[in-house]
Parts: sequence; structure tokens; C-alpha cells
Amino acid sequence: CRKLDENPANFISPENFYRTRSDAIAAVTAAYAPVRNNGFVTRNYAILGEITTDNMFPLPNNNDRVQLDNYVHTPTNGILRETWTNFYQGIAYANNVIDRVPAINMDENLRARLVGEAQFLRAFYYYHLVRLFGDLPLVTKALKSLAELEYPKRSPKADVYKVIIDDLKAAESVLPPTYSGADRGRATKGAASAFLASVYLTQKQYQLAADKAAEVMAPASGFGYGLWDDYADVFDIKNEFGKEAIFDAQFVSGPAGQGGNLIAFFAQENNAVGGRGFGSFQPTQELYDAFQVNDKRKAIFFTKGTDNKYYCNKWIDADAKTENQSDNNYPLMRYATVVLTFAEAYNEVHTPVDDNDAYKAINSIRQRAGLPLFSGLTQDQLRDSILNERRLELCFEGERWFDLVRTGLLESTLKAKGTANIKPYHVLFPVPQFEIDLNQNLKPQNTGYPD
Amino acid sequence: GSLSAQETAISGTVKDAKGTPLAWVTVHVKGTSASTSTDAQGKFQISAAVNATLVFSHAGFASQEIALNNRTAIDVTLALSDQNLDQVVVIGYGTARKGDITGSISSVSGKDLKAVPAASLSQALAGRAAGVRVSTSSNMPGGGISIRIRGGNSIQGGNEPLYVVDGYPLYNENGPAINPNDIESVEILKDASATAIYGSRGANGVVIITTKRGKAGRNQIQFESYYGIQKVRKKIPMLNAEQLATVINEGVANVNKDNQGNAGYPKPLPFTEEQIKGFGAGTDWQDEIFREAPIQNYQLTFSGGTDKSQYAVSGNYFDQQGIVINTGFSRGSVRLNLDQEINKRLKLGVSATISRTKGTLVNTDGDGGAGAGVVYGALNFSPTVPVHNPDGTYTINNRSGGILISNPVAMANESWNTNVATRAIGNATLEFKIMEGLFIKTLLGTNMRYEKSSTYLPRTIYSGVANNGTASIYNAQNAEWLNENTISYRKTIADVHRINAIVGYTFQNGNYEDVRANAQNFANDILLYNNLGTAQQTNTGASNKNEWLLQSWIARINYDYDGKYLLTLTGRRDGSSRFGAGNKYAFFPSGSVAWRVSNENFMSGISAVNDLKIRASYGLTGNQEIGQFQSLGALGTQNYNFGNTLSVGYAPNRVGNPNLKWESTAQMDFGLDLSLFKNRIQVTADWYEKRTRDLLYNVSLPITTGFSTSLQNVGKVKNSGIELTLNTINFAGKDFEWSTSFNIAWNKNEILDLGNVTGDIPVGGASGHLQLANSGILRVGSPVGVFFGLVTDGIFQNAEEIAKSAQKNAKPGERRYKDIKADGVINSSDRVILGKAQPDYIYGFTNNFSYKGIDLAVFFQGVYGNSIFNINRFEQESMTGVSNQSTAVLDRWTPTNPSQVMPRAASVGQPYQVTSRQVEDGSYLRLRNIQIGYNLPEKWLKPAGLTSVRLYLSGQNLWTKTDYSGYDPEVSRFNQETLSQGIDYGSYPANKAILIGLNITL
Repeated sequence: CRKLDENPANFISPENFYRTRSDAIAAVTAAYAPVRNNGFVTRNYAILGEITTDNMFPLPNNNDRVQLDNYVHTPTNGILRETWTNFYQGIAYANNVIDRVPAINMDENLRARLVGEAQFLRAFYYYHLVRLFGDLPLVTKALKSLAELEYPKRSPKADVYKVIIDDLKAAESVLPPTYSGADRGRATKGAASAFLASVYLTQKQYQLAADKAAEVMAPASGFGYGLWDDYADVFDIKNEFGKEAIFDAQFVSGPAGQGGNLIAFFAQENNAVGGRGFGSFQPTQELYDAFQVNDKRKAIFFTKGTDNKYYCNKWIDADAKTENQSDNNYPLMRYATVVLTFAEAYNEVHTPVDDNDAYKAINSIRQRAGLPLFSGLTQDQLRDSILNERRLELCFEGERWFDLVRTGLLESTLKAKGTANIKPYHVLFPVPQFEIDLNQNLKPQNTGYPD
Repeated sequence: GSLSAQETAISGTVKDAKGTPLAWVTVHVKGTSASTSTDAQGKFQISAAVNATLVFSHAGFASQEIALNNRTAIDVTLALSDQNLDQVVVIGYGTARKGDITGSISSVSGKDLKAVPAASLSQALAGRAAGVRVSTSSNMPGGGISIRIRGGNSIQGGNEPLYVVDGYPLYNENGPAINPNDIESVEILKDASATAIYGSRGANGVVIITTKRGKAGRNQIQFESYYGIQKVRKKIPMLNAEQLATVINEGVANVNKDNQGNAGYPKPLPFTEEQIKGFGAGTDWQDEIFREAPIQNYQLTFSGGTDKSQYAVSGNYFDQQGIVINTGFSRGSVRLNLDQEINKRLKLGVSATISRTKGTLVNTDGDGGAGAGVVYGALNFSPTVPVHNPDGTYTINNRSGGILISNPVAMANESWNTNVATRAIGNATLEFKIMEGLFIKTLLGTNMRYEKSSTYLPRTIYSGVANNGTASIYNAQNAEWLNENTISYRKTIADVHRINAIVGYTFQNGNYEDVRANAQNFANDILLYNNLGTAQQTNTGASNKNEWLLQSWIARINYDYDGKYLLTLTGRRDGSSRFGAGNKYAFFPSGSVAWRVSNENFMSGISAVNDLKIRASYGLTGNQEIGQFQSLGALGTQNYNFGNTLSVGYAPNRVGNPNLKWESTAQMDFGLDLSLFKNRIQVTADWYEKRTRDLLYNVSLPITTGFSTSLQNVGKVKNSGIELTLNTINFAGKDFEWSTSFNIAWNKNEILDLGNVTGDIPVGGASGHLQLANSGILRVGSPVGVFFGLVTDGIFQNAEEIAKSAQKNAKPGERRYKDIKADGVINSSDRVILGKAQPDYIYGFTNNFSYKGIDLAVFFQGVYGNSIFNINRFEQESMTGVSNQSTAVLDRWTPTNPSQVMPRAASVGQPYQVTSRQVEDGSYLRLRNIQIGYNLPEKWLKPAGLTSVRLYLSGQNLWTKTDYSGYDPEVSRFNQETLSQGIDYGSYPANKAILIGLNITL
């Protein structure tokens, strides 16, 4: 009689993994994957952050996107489900690192850094989820056996933010300010600080936000961040790991299958970009018009299609001749974002005085864009100006919806755009029905959405 | 026992009615334990008293008792037995007289199978045996077939039966790759008494296939052939270009009206009146992709042999072109069966087939949208667009007022997609007679498959243009080995106790490996998939390997008391590699009893009853079809790149389940076999109930666990039903004969338990392209495979109706839904079960007529009570200007046409959701085959040296009665996926065909 034990030849089982240094590194690599997998080629950042706002609208060939554009989305919306799934997958991968890597016998510093990266990633995922969906099932342990299966209830947002802040602080304390060579693109100390600043701003803890942003901006911090003088350099592929990049979704062209294709979604339909443009996400005319005529960004951000409409041109890889071969990274945290975060937070805690730190920050962005510098504004005027600048500078980068919700401007802005269906409850998306069906403890659904 | 003086050596010869000597005839001295059997010359020798009675028995022949009356040498002629009861039926690991069988077994003869010319055995089985449902998962030549015996037990594990080809058990989702012309008979084992000998593979029923073997003394050459023409059974009536353009304009106008005064409105109408008039009929895309296609089959068989060796050798070529351009399937096969008596104790048998198949495929049955297939393309591509541009190139896509999909003609003609498979299946057996009635047999067998699939999408079609050509290849090889060792014993004691027993050990394992590669960005389209290295971009390859192993002990005993009381006990212990560490072995017992009422003395006066047998059985069988390694936790790759360098990551993608085990099915069966009026009327009826527990199911986990599913043993399913088979000889005159076969089977499937899950589980494939996640649900108390959605309730005619309804935001002309929950809103709580994929009953009905040399067979087959989820209807009735529409939209609502069926046109669509509009009745009754044949009279054949010549004309699917609006009610876009049965979306249509055939026997 032969033995009936199965010895798998084509996959790795957990029993023989999480043992070596290279296992630890591979486990952390996996935890990064959902950063990029948020929808095919990260497109869900653009859908949930831009299509849902006054910045963009979708090609009407996809119901999920049309629903979100028109604010008639339901708990069965596929993009919401995809996003929820992807980020929770990331949380699970990060939890596996945080639970299992500390037991691996290896270089202590590297081990601490790897766990720190996983904590950064867990915070990154929860930060997106909590802003999109509100109270969340808070999972901080990896499921190792079916016996431990749980059906968690939703924890209050405050508890989620506590985990996010704790994770980011822990990451901040162990991550290096920079990486070199084949480690570039990993989470840095600066990335953790920049996200902390963003978290504080969202929580309206303006002093903390301003201080944390200031840390990132301080030359003494050693991060080496700064604004490129020439706007053309900001998204140039050769500057991928340059001074303005803090945390990106990484893409690289070539046969490894790591290339991007987001540019095809932004490009005009049947344009040769990336093999063939889809025309899926198009800027509103109103966004284009919001740029002043002499704004240098205009020529970089937009291109005029053969149909005389404007298309997003912020990222372009002229060498991407076929599908999924674009080298462009997609920025998830940029130095300009930190500068704008600082300006906004500082303005909230200081009455504006010309050329104070808030003015300096916002004007550094304006100067680069070739626009006149701000001065002599009231606090409210400066706040509005910063927000407007934020809209223009960060358009298509998936920030707009979060900014509108954070500042309480979602409903009024979309009413003005002509979105008749917008309601106050739309500041949260519904928890995907699929997940509620599997875990009844997630009830009740967010206000306003069908149960 | 005294070797008394009266006992002496008796010898003789046994022959059949034609004078051919019969070997292996059992010769037994009545009232004693002495017995022997005849040798190859039919000769026997036995010691007996000169006044004893000898009993001669042999499978297929009527037993004969002969009193010696002081003779010492006798010649015996055995008559063929009462066909009904003495017919030899192949059962698992042996044979039995039909009359002795205590389980539920249906037999289908090779002749019946051949009546329906078909590429595969599975297709030919449709409607032939009660309780056997055959469904076509793709009508593409060489496409998939699915068989369900007595309903499906499993919700996720395989539900296909186990096939046993000349003793070789194999599980193959599409049925065994065997040429139907080679088949002598097929036995379908249905109840646990019959299937338990196959243990953990028996729960879905067993199809035993016996191929033709040579017969001693009759050297024959047989040529069989047919040639036919097939065409699409039905076209779906679609709008022409002018009609479609009108609908599109109307949709935009309606939305403009809804948005009066809103920014961005009114939008311009896509077409001017002049353009619309100029379109005319436009392109009929169905005409462009369908064709009349030939089907042909040629077979040459040599068979015959001597007393000691028999042979059957056949060669076959089958070629079926598809009714969609550029599709087809061909098969060449060679079969060799040999039987050799080595000496008086030793017999050798060999069965082997080698076949090569080639499928030329096109993409169909896929999801919609850009990656969709040819049939979908033909239904969705705009008729306003021509097939070719003025410069002769293909129109790449129909952007002008449509979605981005491939030109279906270009896709069918220009894309390359072939599958070539070489298969060998065969075994050798050696049987050794230890002593009278005691045999030891060993079998060595193998089943091998080598397969290559290749695709190339050139730059001339939409799906290839973005990549400058995409090529992919896939190679798979599968090798299985089987060893079986059995000891069997037959004994009759005191004339009334008959025992037939077998014990054995079997071992089977399989090794599978595959490798795939793809590349894109070619300089030109010349090399297709034949040299991936010439591409500018060669993508990461992939490979796979797995292995399984099954080792088993089997035992069975049949006991028969005086032909009246029959008992069968069976057991199998299976050890399977597929299950969790704690559950490697399982035992599957069964028992059955039968009472041959007609053999009782009190029945002797009732001459009308030839046979009456009552049967009862109960037993356990299993299902292990879950694939390999499923009990183990696993990590999958999740890659990322740092510093523009690929970094391979690993993360858990399956949580381990060491308790994973087989599904077990407990089945109870009560049956009755009745034969009346000299067997003119034969009835078989069965009632059964199957309860399957420990269902293998990928239970969905909340994604917060990090896993989307885990394979667990949860839940219970029940199948119960009644089967009825009625064979009658209605008229049997000298020249004219008329016989009828009718079978019908009801099966009711019900989910009894779903483990921890209390609510409905959303399941069933739908369409990612339409953002429809699921077609149905699993719900306790309902069958597996139900469709779940809203119930349509006509069309809103005016604002008053809307104000009173639960859809306050609706517009007149929009579809109205039933507010099932009666809470004033329409949402997911208003969904109900709209239909089920499994029919209430299935039936087949054949009439055979013959008059002198002419014969006629008329074969109807049908199912009743199932539903089909017709996904095509979403897009073909959407009126958003994206796809072409079916002519059903001509009755769309307008203020002057108050339709209650079809809503108004609107260029902005609503999210798609499952509703009763897409769930249609799938019942059908089909004239599957009608065949008229003529056998040339003997007086013409004799001079030419021919034995027989038969000419026939046959029609397939010439008539179908169904209310289903799609191409064909026999459809299943998701192949054999149990939870996604009965779904139609761009599926390859069924054909109808006329064939002419010629068979010659030398």
C-alpha cells in the first residue's frame, strides 16, 4: 500500500513558510500587492476619488461607474465590493506579517522594518476603508485555522482611527527615511508621517496635522523631499523615486506583468496610448475651466482629443505601445499633498498674516504653477483658496471625494455640478451587500442605503 | 460420498443452435457438488452415476437438464435463453444475468446508441434510459456534455457519473473519449446496490461501457458511414439597421425629455432621419457567422476469430464542421480487442483504443463585452456597421452607437484556437482458473491524455489590436494507472443455493502536469502561436502538477435461493489522497434483496406473467471529486515591484481544513420488474430516495478573514424520484413489427441543510460584464440551482400609477416590479425564486417499425418544468443604444403603444438585475431523431458475397416544441458547474441535420 499523504508539488503551504528571511520579505511583498490591486491597475482610486466628484465623469459603458457618478449606487455596486475586498485582503496579508514574522529567526533590524512596513500598510488600508465606509469590522489578527473563524461586528470609527494612528506611529519609529536600489518604493518613515498628517487633518486635529506635515517638510528631517521646479518633472518616469514621490502604487513595464494601464482609462477612446485608449474617465469641462489660462499645469494635466474634449494627460508613458505596459506609478502620497495639508491645517489654527507659513506653503505650489501669489485673504478666503488649489494640484489623483467629505462640501459641490440625487448620507458608501450577506453582524447598513 | 460402482466417466460436446461449440459451459451433476466446464471445443468430461441428471448452464443460454439414462456420451445443443432474463448484464467487476440482478440498472444497446449519429457517447445517451439526464453545455462540435443520474447530489463536487470502459474506471467531465460506434452496450448503474462496489466514486451513478469483441468463427468486415448537412436550428429575430437606429434615437429623445432644463441637455440625436432611411436592412450578423456545415463518419471493423482467439479491430474517422464559421471537430481512432485462451486454465484479454481529436474552436459562451465571443458578437454588433471597411479590412468595432466588441466575423475567421488531444486507454487482463468455479484475475490498465491548446489573436481583430497580436499555448499531460486483482467464486449447492462472490484489491493513481505560456507584440501575424520567442514581449509562463491516489478493497456476494429469493451484499473500502489527514479511509456498504414472485408455485397458473420481481436496496456511496490538495492550506503569489524590479510575494490564499472528507450518499431504492404476455410488455419501475451529507462546498467567508472561501463539508441534499420504463412489442407479424420504448423519470431535489449558514447564499454565475454577480441562491428547502430576482409586473402607463407604486422615481414606460415585501420600496428584499434549472421530469419515447427490409425509428425526447436564465435578454432588450436588439422591442412602450411587456426606449440604462423577464420556461419536446432505413434483400447480396447492406436517411432535431426564446433550450453556458446550470449567454446554438448512411457487412 502506498501512502495517501498529499505532498503538493505546485504550491506552498503555510506549514513550510514563514521560516526564513526571504519568507519574511516575500510575505511583506504580498502585503503591498493590494496597494496596486485596487481595481484593475489601481483604477478604483480614480473612480471613488474622482468620478464621484465634480472632477470627472465616466464613459457610460459601465453601470457601476455610472451609478457612482449619478449617486444612485447601491450596496451591490461592484466597485465598492472590489475595493472593500481588496483592502481587507491587504489587511489580512499585513496581519500575517505582523503575527508571524516576529517569530522568524533573522536580522533584527530588517525584521523590525518589515513588521513596520506591514503596520504602515495596514494603516493605509484601514484609512481608506474607514473614510469610505465609516464604522468597520476591525481585524488585527491573521486567521490561521478554520476553528478561529469569527464574524466581527463593526467597531466605531474612533477605534479604527486608533489602530491607524498606532500603526503609523509604530511604522514611523522603525522605517528608514529612504531606500536604495531595488528597495525603492517601500514605505518610508516620511510616508508614515505624511499619512499621519493626513489622518490628523481628516480628524480635524489641525495642530497635530500641521506639526506632522511640518516634520515631513523640515529639511532637518533628512527625507529630502521637495517640489520639482519644473512641473514637467513631477510625473516624468525618470523621476519616479524622486524628491516629490512619497508613496506610489508601483508599476514597471516589461514581461514580468507589472506594467500599468491606467493611462488607457484616462486617454481618449481608441487613442494609441497603451495600445488603445478606453476613454473611461474623462475630466469635466468645469474642471478644465477652473484652471486659469496661464496656469502651467494646464498643458501638463490635459490634452485635447480629436473630439475637442479634454483628457487627462498627467501620466503618460510614450513607450507603452501595448496594453498593460505603462511604466507610470500612481501617486498615493505626494510631497505637494503634504504642503497643501500643512497649509490647510496651519490656516485653521492661525489667523492669516501675509507670508506666514500657510501662505508660504500654498504660494510655493502657486509659484510653480506660474500663478500670482496669495496675500491679504481672510481665514475663510484662504481656506477656500487652499481647497481650490488642492483640487487643481491633485486632480485625478483620487483625493477629491475625500477632500469634499472632509470639508463638508460634498453635497453642495455636487448639487452645483447638477447631480440631482446627492443626499447628505452620501458622505459614506454602503457596506457591500455581499459582505453583509456573509456576516450579518455588519448590520445595520449605513444610513440612507437599502438594508 | 461414495465413489460407487455406478459412477462412470461421462463425456460429450456442447454446441449452440448453429452448431458452434460452446466453451465455458458449466456442466453440473444435479444433486451433487460435482461440476466442470467445457473446453474451447465444447467438450466436457465428468464423473456421474449413469442415471444422474446433468445440468448445462451458460450465460446467454437457457439452462438445460438432461437425464443420462445410462448414456455415457451425450451431445447437447443449448438454445439462446429467454432474452429478457438471461441477458448478461455487465456490472461492476463482473457480469450477472439480468434476472438475478437485485439493483437498479438500465441497459442501452449499441444499436440504440448508433441511431443518433453523435460525436460522443454522452450525447447518444439522451432520452435512452430512465433517470439519465444529458445536457449539452456547448453545442460547438466537440463541446461539453453533462450527465446527471437521478439528479445531482453534490453542490460543488463533481456530479458527473463514473465511467467504466471495459473495466477501466475514469472520471471525465465530458464523458469518455470513446467512439460510439465501438460500443456493444452501456449499462447504467443507479442505486446503491449497484454502485457501492465503486465506493467513493459511486454516488453519481456509474456508466459501464463494453466495447465490441470478436466472436469465434464469424470473420466479418463491416463498413459503416454517414454523411450529413447541419444548419442552425433557429435564428433569433433581430432588428435591422433602420429599426435599430430608430430605437437609438428614440432612447436619446426620451432621456432628453426626462432631463429638460438640466445642464448638458438636450443631447443631439445620434442619427439623422436621412441616415436612418439610408441604412436599410444593414448587416445581418447571424447570417454572416452561420453556415450549412457537413458532418461525416466512416468506420471499418474487422472481427472474428477461432475457438481460442477472437479479435475485433476498428478504425474510425469522424468529422463535424460547425454551423458557426471556422469551427469543427474531428477524431480518428483505432480500437483493438483481443481474447486469447492460453491454456485450459489461463485466458488473456486486451482492450485498447488510441484516438486523436482536433477541435477548431471559436470563442463563445464567454462573458459579454470586449472579450466576448462570436455568437454574442452576432447578437450585439450593430447592423448599421458593415462587415468590411471600404478598403476590404474588417471593421474592428462598432463604436458608433455600440459597445466595444469584436467584429464577430473577423473574430471567427481571423482568430486561431485549436485543441489537439491524443488519448490512449487500454487494459490487459489475465484470468486463471484455480479450480471449478474459482478464478483469480488481474488487470493492468492505463489512461493517458496528451493535449495542446493554442490560440492566436491577430491584430486584425479588436481583441488583438491593442497587443499587436497575442499568442498563448497550453500543454497538458495526464497519465493514470490501474491495477485490479480479484478472486471470484461461483458455486451451486444442492441445486437451490447459488453463490457468486468476489473479493479484490485495486489501486489507481493519476499524474497530471501542464505548462502554459503566452506572448504578445509580434512583428506580424504570420507565425501565429508557433514561435512565441519571436514576440517582443514574452510573458511569465506558468506550470502545474498534481497527483492522486486511490487504493481500495472490494467484496461482493450474491446469493440466490431457488431463483426466488435473491440477496446481494457489497462493500468497498476506499483510501483516497484527496481528503484531509484525519479522514483518509472510508467504507461504503450496500445490501439488496429481491423476490422473484413469478417463480413461486402460486404463480404457475398465471401464464400472462413471465416475470415479476420486487427489489429493495439500501447503501452508502461517496463522491470524492474535489480536485487535489484541497484539504491543505496554501499560499499564493502576490507580486509587487520595488525599484522597478519584480519581487515575488506570498500570502495565504486557502485556509487548511484537515477534516475535509468525501460526500456520502445514502440511497434507498424499491423497484419492480414485470414482464407480461410472452415478454411483449416489460415494465421496470423504481422509487428512490438519496440523502447526501457532508456536502463539499466552498463556503464563502467574510473577506475580513482574508479568504473568500474555504472548502468544507457542510449541509445535506435530498433527491427523490420515480422512474418508469415501458417496453412493448405492439405488433409482431411475419413482415411487420412495431415496438415502443418509453421512459420517464421524476426527480425532486431539495437542500436540507447548509451547515452554519442560515440565510440564503448567493450563488450561480451570471455576468461580470453586466455587473451581475449571481444568478441565484442556495436556500434550505429549495432545489440546487434556482434563479432569484424581482418579479416584473407590467409597465407603468402614467404618473398616477407611479404615484401609487413602490417606484416613485419611475417614468411612464418603465418596468414595474412586484413589491413582494409590501414596504413601499423595491429593493433586494423583494426578490423571490423565479425558477429552477432542474426539470420536474425527463422522458424519452421511441417507436420502431419494420416492414420487410424497411425500418423506421422515431425518437422523441424532452424535459419539463425547468427554467433558463437568458442573460442575452438584458442586452437584447436594453434599448440603451449599446447593442443590437431583438425584435421583441418593436412592441416597446410609447405613449401611443401602451405595452405591458416591453418598456420604453431610454439611452441611459438602469443597473442590470435578475428579474422574471430573463427567466424563461426551458421545457421542450424534441424529435431528436427520425430514421428510415432499408436493408437490401438477401437475394441481391448473396451473388455479391455480402452479408448485409443497409441504407438509411436520418434527421436530427428536425422538430422542437419549446417556449424558450433563445437559440436552444439545451444550453448551459457554465458547462457542468452545478450551481450555474441552465444559463444562456452568447451560447453556441444547436443545429438540425439531415444525414444519409450506408452500412455494409462482408
